[in-house]
Amino acid sequence: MAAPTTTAVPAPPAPRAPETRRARRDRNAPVLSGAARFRRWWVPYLWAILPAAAVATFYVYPFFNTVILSFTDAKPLGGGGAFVGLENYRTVLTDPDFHRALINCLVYAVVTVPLLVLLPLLLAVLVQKSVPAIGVFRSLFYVPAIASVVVVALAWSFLLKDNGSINELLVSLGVVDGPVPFLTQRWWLLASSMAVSVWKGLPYFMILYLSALANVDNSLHEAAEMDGAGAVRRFWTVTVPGVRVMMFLVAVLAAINAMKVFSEVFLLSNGSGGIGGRASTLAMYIREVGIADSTYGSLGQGSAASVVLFLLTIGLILASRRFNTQIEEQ
Amino acid sequence: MATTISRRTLTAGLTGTVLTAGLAGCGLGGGSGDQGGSSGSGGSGAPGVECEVPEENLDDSEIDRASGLEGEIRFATQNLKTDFGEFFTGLISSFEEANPGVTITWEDTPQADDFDSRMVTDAQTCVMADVINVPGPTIAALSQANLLMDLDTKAPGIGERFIPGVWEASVFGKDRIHTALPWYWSPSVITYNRDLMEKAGLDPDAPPTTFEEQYEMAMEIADVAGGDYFAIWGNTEWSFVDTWLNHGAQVLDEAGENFVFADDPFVVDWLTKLREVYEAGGIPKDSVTGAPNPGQQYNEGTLVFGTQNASFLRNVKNNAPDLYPVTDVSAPLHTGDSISYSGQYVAVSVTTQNAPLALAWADYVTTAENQLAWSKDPGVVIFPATPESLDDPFFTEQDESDPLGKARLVAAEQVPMAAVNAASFLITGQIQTAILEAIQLAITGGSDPQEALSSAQETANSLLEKTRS
Repeated sequence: MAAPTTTAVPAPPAPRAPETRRARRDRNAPVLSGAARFRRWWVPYLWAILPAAAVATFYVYPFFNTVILSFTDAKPLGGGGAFVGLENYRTVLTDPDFHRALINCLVYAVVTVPLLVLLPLLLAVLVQKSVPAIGVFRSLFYVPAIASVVVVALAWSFLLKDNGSINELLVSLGVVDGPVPFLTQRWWLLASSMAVSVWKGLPYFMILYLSALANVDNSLHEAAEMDGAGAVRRFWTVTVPGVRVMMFLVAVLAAINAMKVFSEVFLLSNGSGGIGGRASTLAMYIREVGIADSTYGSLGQGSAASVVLFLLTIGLILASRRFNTQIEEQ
Repeated sequence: MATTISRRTLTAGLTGTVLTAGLAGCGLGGGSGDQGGSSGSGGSGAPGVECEVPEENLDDSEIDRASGLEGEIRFATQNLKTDFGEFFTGLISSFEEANPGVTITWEDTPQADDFDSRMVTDAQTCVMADVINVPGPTIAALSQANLLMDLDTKAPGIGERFIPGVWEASVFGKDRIHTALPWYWSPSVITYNRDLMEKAGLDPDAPPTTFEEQYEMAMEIADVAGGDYFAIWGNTEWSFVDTWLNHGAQVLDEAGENFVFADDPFVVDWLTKLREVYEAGGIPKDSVTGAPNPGQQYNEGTLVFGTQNASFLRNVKNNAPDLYPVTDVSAPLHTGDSISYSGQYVAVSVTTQNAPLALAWADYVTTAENQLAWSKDPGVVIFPATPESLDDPFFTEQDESDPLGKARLVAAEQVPMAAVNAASFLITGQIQTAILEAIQLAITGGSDPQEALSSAQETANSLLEKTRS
């Protein structure tokens, strides 16, 4: 009888001590080198404290505070603060001054957004070429973006006032009989402010487009050129599709700026918003009813107008995004 | 052994930090008006913002400001340091020397436009200076929010030295209590370019004395000038209330509760005539919404009538030296027997933690002696609100050939006619904007004067009603 075969049964592993949370964390931690090996896990959070506190203090808290205030009768110098439901929204939405300010902002957006989407792109295409001293030109083009809006508006108001250079030129050329009311009449004041916004925004968006253009494959241009496409055709069929994402971003930024435009109109009109305040914008309306008037102002009404402006801006962005998606799908 | 911090502890800490930081900005929410601080039977009542207020600032006891002064207070002014820094530094030094152990920290806001908003922000965040210098409308707003000390209770008798007509009417607080001490002021005057008057065929020695006369002159100037120069400035922000009141217009009803200016024949006539001057070319078109101060256009030598602020002559002297010798001064346009007082005030914050020193300093700044000393500054045409100071020969012995000297003489003649009208303090903020926009529309032909005024009056009364509800 054959001796029974015996199989060596491995000894059961010695029971391991339960893995601690720290050991598990260390096992899963990425391999670090240098000073990072001595860094505690909570250090990144430590760095985030100040920025998080700043965001919470200057953005998150004011936002929610504004929403809460919009349902109260709070006043700039205290007092009030009682819940009034939707009363402030009703006041704002039935106020003719608010309607006029909203129309002004929408007109501002309709005019400036296409200009600020296309003109900086054309400018970027022009200065993209590598020619001698192009860096100097790019820097010079960027000057309006870094100039203070107060200084810019002051300079433009000197040019545009009744006895300013532009009016004197127009009158001397016989284009007009008398000074054009660039700084007083509603639509002229808005047009002048739009000109300042576009002039000041051009270089900033040009820089954004330059970065986008750098990512457009040059071989596409070469192929299109070999197929006989001219410069204009290449612009529309190669350049524009190549920077479409950036165009959407620029459009959104320009629309946001248009909806909350303040400085240009305020400074060009000496704070009046033109004759009868007819060119006032939503931001000017909010300032007037909610902040600037310590005697008759209403923080509740100003906050309600701010919330409406926020919703309008968000709505505009969502609509733009949907529009952009539809174009991409086509 | 290194101390470890658990994620939960850290998360809780972070949340606490963020919430604390977030809540640190509170105050904008507006208290209930009954919160914060103590309330007493006397005084101005609890302030509208949530600030810590010492009990003794609100109760009905008088504050001893004559002895035992010590500590430090802040003194806030608007746009005084650049031109009068030396005077005020000396004033502070003399007070500190007379009261060893006290310190006055002077804070001046250079841009007057920013001052009101700074005051409001300071009040909201409980950091308002102990003693503040503010114009009437801001005083009225701060008083209505119970942010200024009740002087009738805390410093009885302190108002006896001021022009009676001014002190008696300067009751800004609830229940008509005094909350501020009248300080410096300047009666309006007419400043004009003699050369341009002659050029327009007018007698420079016979300037207008009423708005009616100025209107007739403006029409003649517009006719002759043909756009080369202009008669009057279009922005009426600094002048419309005074012009109405100086011509006896009724701005508020007898009870002082509703505006009635749109029903006053002078006001409607005034606006109609301004429109006629505008149409005739006597007003620079873009000046209707231009800067309130016509200084720049006047200094260019293309405006006949300059600002009504006599201190502006210093600007002409410095920036348009050729125009200064041909600039003349005459009494303000008026038909009534009173001149509107719209001066500066000094007030004590109800949140001050050193009320005796704050009251003593406010008292010192506004004494007849110190008001007179400042009025003698060569670069300014201001007058004390203390009649005792006005007896000084300085106000009657001036060189009439110098425009600044003549301005002092002319203005001094108006001082006894000074009167405070409550309308001056109610026309501020959105009410002022509504009236100005109506004036702009009417002048430029965008609206009928009567309709524009009635619409502005309706808005103004609706805003007044809101403050009462």
